[in-house]
Amino acid sequence: MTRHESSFRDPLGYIFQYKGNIYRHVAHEAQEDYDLLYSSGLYEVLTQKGLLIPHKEVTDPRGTTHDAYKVILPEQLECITYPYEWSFSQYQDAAILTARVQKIALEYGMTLKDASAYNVQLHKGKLVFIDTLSLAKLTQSHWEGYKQYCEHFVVPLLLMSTVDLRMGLLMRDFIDGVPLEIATKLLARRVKARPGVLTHIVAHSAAQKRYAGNQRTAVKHQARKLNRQQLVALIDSLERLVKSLKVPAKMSSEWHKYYEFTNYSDTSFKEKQKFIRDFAAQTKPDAIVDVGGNDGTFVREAQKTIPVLSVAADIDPLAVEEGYRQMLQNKEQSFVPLRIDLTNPSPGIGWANTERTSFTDRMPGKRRLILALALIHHISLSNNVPFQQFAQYLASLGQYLVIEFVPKGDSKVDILLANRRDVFTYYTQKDFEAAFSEHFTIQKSQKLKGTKRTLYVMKRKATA
Amino acid sequence: MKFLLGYLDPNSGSVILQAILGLFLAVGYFFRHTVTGFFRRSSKKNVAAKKVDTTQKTDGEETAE
Repeated sequence: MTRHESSFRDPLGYIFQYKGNIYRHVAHEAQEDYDLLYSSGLYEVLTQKGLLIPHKEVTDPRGTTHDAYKVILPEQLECITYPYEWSFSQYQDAAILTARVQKIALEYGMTLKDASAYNVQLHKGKLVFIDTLSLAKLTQSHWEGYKQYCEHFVVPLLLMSTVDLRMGLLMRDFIDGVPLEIATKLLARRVKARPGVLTHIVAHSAAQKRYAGNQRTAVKHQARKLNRQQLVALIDSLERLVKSLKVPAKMSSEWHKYYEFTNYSDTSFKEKQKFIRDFAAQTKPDAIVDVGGNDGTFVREAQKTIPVLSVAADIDPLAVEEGYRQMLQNKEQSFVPLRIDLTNPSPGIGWANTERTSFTDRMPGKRRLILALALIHHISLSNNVPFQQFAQYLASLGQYLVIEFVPKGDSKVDILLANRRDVFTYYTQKDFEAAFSEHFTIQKSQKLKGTKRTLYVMKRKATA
Repeated sequence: MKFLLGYLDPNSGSVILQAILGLFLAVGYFFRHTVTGFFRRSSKKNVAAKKVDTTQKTDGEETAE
């Protein structure tokens, strides 16, 4: 049994792993809240609407020594992702979901005692609230999660929408939300003048500064209790602010709609798709991870023969946004779009660097197929990563690999080398094969018609 | 010093702001959901009534034929 490293913030319960399953320990102190969740009918409503992860009560698999009030086994998540890896729309939907859960909870005499963005996860193609113990009896005269909601959701979304989509990455440095104070410094005046921003961010930040440590004033104001309708109005106002935010209209990127402007002919594109479909069918992986996945085009090809959980990780927030929208549109249940820069993937952060684990440690499945298509020139030429190190990292990610080698002379490589001295004497197909052969067995290679590129199928060596 | 106080602060500013905002937002919420809702409902009713009228007329014409 291992208590999960991330589960220490709530003294009323924690999650633990036992024989590969994640359980939740409900402490005796949480009895009243937990029982109310059922007796009020809130659990049934939220799970029926697909807003809360369903669970079943089970006998404590660890025996009786842990003295739990209850032990619950939630529906198991296949892949954990973090806010700083989400597209804008996924982040926005997570904010709306949290507000919806809070609104419904208020109707049933309960409330969310926190508003962490980490409590929302993508499960079977839909966002779902996963922290059952966040729901508590409504006793406070205010919403305890108000500031956290602003810092976990409103501030990152505002910055992404009005400054730059990559501002979501701030959540990586500020594990408990981007401080209101920082938002007031970064947001433009015209944005701060919007009524919702003015109240929930600017005034909020000013109030925090003004009353920091002034407990007497706080107690005095607490005496003015907010009734349920006022609390609902507060959530409604936050929700409207979040819904009003959009992906910046003028934003364009190098990778967004990449496949519409490639130098592939239709034939070679189809050839590449077939190659991936065939290899996926042959290896039967239990998860597929495309480490330069753009909007997920090729991962979806692989899913046509093996419909397993597939991750499309990409550095470009617009490509990931497109992937998320397609996922919703096609009602895909096994697709996970992630904004990941492979040259600097999400590290382990938080307490002891283990509270939020690294991208590498969160790979789904056990028998993974990794796709690295048209990526090597960006890793090895733009970022100077030697072939050996790239091969070693890919071998740590999965058992099978489909990789595309893009040689010098390819138009995309020529662009990369256009304004710099070509010091990459090792960047040859021969060196590539030698370096990757240290970690993988090359099973097959195929030149892509009409291009100078080659596709490789590799299997990780047992010693790698 | 401010930083230290911020670190120790039990979100006093957040609590105070909510107490103030609660009053104003509730008024706005009431108008949006009750008053606007009333007008929306009545305009929907009017549209529905018009539709019914049209259908009845058509039915009538058909019967006449």
